[in-house]
Amino acid sequence: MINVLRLEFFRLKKSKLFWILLGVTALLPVISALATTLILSVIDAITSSGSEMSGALEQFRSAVTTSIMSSLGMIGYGATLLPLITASVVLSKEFADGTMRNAILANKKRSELYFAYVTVAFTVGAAYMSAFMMTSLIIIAPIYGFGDLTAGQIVSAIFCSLALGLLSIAFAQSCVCMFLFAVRKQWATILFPILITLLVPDIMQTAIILITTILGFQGDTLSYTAMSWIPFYNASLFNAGAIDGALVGKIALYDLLFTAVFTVSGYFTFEKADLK
Amino acid sequence: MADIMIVTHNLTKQYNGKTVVNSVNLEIERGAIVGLVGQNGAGKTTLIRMLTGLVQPTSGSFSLLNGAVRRDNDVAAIVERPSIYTNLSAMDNLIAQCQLLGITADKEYLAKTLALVGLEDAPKKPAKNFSLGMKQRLAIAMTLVGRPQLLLLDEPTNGLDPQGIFDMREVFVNLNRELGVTILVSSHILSELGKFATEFYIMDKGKILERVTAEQLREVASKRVRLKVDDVDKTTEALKQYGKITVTDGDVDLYADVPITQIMLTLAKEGVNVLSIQQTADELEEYYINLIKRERQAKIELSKGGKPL
Repeated sequence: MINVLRLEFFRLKKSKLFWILLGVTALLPVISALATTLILSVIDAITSSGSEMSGALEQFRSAVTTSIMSSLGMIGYGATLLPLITASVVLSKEFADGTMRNAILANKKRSELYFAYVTVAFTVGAAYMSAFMMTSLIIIAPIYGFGDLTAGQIVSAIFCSLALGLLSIAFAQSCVCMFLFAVRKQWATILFPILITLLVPDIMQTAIILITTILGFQGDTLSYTAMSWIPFYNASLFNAGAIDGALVGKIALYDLLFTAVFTVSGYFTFEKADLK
Repeated sequence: MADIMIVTHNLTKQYNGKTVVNSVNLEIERGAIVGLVGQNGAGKTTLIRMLTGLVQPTSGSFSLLNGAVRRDNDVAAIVERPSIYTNLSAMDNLIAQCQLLGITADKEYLAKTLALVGLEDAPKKPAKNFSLGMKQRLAIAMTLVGRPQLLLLDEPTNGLDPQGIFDMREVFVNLNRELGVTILVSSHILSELGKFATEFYIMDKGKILERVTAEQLREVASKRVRLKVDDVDKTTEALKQYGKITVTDGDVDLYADVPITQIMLTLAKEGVNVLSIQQTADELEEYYINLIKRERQAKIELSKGGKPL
């Protein structure tokens, strides 16, 4: 397995895509912060020019700001999507180029190959997430501050965000590995994990809303806590000031469970498969 | 006891109930260059894929390297298309292969390996810009990097120009002679295969029809004379005194070590006009074609007789 890892890290080192997307991921928080500042100042300039703001204008300002902030929040998805794209493109190239055969010929067991690839995919995810967090903390936080959070809350928020981010990425990468080894087609390895990452949380949320509405459930069924089992839904903490250890643990547990299921299920189809 | 590098026992592969490789038994000794001969769909590639571990046999078994513990670099192969990292340069491809095999990537050694396949001028060029022939050369270089004991090659000269084919043949023969590398090579360019293989397995419809050594092939071919005549029956009758005769599509084949002049005189005495007479030029190709014809003829006759095939 060590030799397969050496080979894959060598390939990664030589991959332009890996370095470019790593750079983009590192810049995402900067892009997000700059865009937020710029848009807010533009909205402020438009809506508060001259006289006092009317009620309708205030409402419009609030709606636009919320909508734009929500869209900018999607930038955070980039930290999950970009390593997913890198891993799926780089690793699936082994099947596209037929170079996977070299490892089989070099007497490597399929289990060695599989877990080497999983390790590489997780490492890519961890590298991207670390780059994202580093930029957030080193560049963004000192400029924009942490609001009225206490020092303890800040430390908790950082560690929880990092942990949940890494777990989300691990789940995304386990999707890549599952499709890579189960389907062994480059397009499927790239497309399906992206679709899952982008669509599944919303699909699940919609499904839950429909079910609970039809069944007439009341209360906090649709709350943030109730969605804790959906991977990606909790990729980041919405309210850093109100971190609940039990909730974070629960989210982490669900993420780990889904990651383990996806990781293991990909292996069985590969173990006995005939390779081209 | 002979050092057997490949042995298979009733190796069989089926896809959706269709038998592609049918109870194949091979036994290849160390140092041999074995040609696997057969037309497209004969099962050559699937057989090689099974030996490489890419495809799981439906039944049967095989053993490589006399059952010895296999090191990472002991077996190398080219299966159908070149397995190279297209985004890397030729040199980086070899370095990657070294990483995989766990051997030191000595640049000088790797440059020599590239030179061996005629890629000494393109070490830094991305492989995606290579022609098919260059990609095939690089794939061959990658198989050589670990100095394997056993080489499995499926159509290794695909995409190569005549000079490339000649060069690769030289490389394989030298590897075999100097380092004792055992080679199993499949090809449908029989004239090429016939020039360097020491033994042949002839495959058709998933089965091994015959195993023949290069020596046996030469012996059979040199003793065979093919005639086109105006009276096949008279010819058969007149020449049977010299040896075995077969008739295929109106051609009379005489398996005997008889001078052509003597054959001509015998037929002239019987009043037979000889339209053409020749000794076989391409031993393997002729042998293969006749064998396949005979097999198919036999099957047709069996089926006409109502016997099971």
